[in-house]
This record gives sequence, structure tokens and C-alpha cells, in this order.
Amino acid sequence: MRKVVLACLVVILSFSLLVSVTVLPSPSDASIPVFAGPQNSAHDLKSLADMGMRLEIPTENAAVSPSVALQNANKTFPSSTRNSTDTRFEYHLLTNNSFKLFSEEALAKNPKLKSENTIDKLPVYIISYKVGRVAGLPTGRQDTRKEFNVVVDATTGVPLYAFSYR
Amino acid sequence: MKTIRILAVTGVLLSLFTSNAFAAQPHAGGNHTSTMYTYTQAYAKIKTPTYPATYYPSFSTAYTMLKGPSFFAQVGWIKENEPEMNDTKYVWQYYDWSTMANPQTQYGTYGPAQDSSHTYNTYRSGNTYFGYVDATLISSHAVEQNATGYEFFEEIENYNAAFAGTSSGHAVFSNLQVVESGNVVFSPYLSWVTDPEATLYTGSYTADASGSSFEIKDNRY
Repeated sequence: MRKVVLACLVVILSFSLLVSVTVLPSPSDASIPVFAGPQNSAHDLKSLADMGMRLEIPTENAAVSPSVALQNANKTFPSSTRNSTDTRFEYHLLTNNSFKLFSEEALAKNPKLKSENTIDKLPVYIISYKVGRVAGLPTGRQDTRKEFNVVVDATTGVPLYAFSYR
Repeated sequence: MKTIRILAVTGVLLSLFTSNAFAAQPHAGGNHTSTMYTYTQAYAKIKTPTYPATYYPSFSTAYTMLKGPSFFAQVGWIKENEPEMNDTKYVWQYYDWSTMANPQTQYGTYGPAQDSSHTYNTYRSGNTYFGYVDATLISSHAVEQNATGYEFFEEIENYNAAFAGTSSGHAVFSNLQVVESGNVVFSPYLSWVTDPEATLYTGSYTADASGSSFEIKDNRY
């Protein structure tokens, strides 16, 4: 009986370690939890797919720290992020063939992005801000969205775009 | 007791209804809905003379749109909250209001410079709707529904925000084009809509005439 209980405990412990795995992209930001790969994402992957986004497990650590990514995201989207009450960091390989409106800075700092002109398995942070309101275009209906997300190139730290859906 | 119960149920139903009720935001420009034709493109060049003032909480926007009986897809620019900060972004939005889901919005990291003109193209190919800014793709959405109308509008969330365009520099919508049941139509037919705080100049717009345009200003600026 004791062996069975022990075996169960080992299985449960292993499973909990597996599902809560995180990647810390930079030792200097060890205090910021970063959730890596679609299996650890809090996003609705179906909604992301509707917007042309596919997440995969990153194979290498990010070149820039989450705090640098956050700083740049705040600077790029000041109105949308300034009243945020909480942030969550995710780190993925992102593919999105439906977005090409890159800034000159984003292309200049990432030769892969410049040569391919598309987001193809690009290491990115997705920073999710809890906000009081989201500025979408008027729909004539009450907008209940409370999350604003910024996609930041994890190789250069340059924000690529933002999105909101919930 | 029965009366209280009826009042309570009525109150709940009323709150459910009002929380999802449609309420048009102030807007200015032109639109059209057809019962005969379908549309696969709404294209315009929009000149943004100066950034409109937008005091928290509010936003101001200009866009082209294709719309169906229960959805719309649109591309344009949006400025929010800050009266002076340069925080104007290119934006795409898809919304299916037949579900309780929220709109899906994507924002570029930059927007039009002041006093610049850019083209905004909402376009359908196959079963996908695309949004282009100056022929560059900002987003897309797959949907198996026909668009039966189009819009060319400026819109503000509330009167904390201004429409783009002032007495010294109007916003200009030009080079309008739609594809109507496969045929390209320059300067498509528009029903004009004007908010009391805006003035719409439609004198230089003639339906079916290539190169015509209309202009907008906010009366308060």
C-alpha cells in the first residue's frame, strides 16, 4: 500500500513539475516568471489562430531580458499600457504570416526578419497587460475586453505589434 | 411577493439587454448597404492633417470597412487617450457580433505622420478578409460570409475625443474605390452621416466619378 501511495506521489510531483515548467530567458530577470511554449500559455490558442498566430516551444533562451521588452513595449504603446494593473510574460516561437507592417527599427535590428519579411518561428515575448479598458474601433456594442497584448522581438527587444481579443 | 419577483426578473432581463444594446458612436462620413450586390474591396486614401485631441477615456479613428449581416472587417488608424502624445497607430479589427465574443484588434507600432496621406484597403480574397495599409498587410481573418456593404468613416468613442480635421486643415478621403460583385467602382455611392460636432464637405464628391473626394472637420477645433 505504501509503495502505491509513494508511486502516486512521484507521478503527481512529476506531472506538476512538467506543467509548470517555465523558461527564464535571462538570469538578470530571474524574479520575473516567463511562461514558455504553447502548453504553458494562458492565451486562447484558437483566438490566436483566428488572428493568424501560431505558437511553438522555443529552443533557445531569449537574447533580451523581459524587463527590456517591457520597457520598450510601454514606450511604444503608452496610452494602452500606462494604467495596467498587472502583466504576464510568455516566451514563444511565433509564426504570423498575416502581419507585415514592421517598423524600420524592427527590420534594421533583425536581419532574419528583414530578409524573410514575415514572422516565421521568431522568438518573441508576448506581454499581456491587465487593463481597465481596451481601445478598439467602435462596434456599437459594449466592449468588455480587459487585456492588451504586445508582441516583442525577443532577439532585439523591439515591439512588433499589439493585439487584443478578450 | 409575486410583484417583487416579476420586478426582479424584469430588472435582470433589462440589465442583460442594456449591457449588450447597440449604441452608435459619433461618426462622420459615408456608408452603403446593398440588398443586390456583394463587395470584396473598400479602398480609400485618407489624409490625416493633425492628430485629433483625445482626452482619457476616449479614442478617435478613421477607416475603410467591409461589412456583412453579422460581421465587419476594417482597417485604418486609431488615436487614444492622450491629447498631445503621438500615440497614433495603424489598426485592423474583425468583429462577428452574432457571437458574444469580443472584437479582435491588431495594432501596428506606428501610425500615419501628421499631414500625411495613406491608403487603407479592406479586401476579400477567397474566404479571407485582409487589411492593407499602403499595400502592406496588417492582418487577415477567414470568414465564409459575403460583405453586403461598406463604410468610409471617421468615428470617436465619445465627446472627449475630436474628429480628425480642423478649420485650418480638413481630413480628406479620396481615391475611393469598391469592388461590387466583381466590378470596380470609383467613387462608390455613399449615404452621408454627419455628427453635430463635425462638418462634412461632400461638394467635391460625385458618385461614379474617378478622383472625387470628401472632407471632414471637427467643429470644435
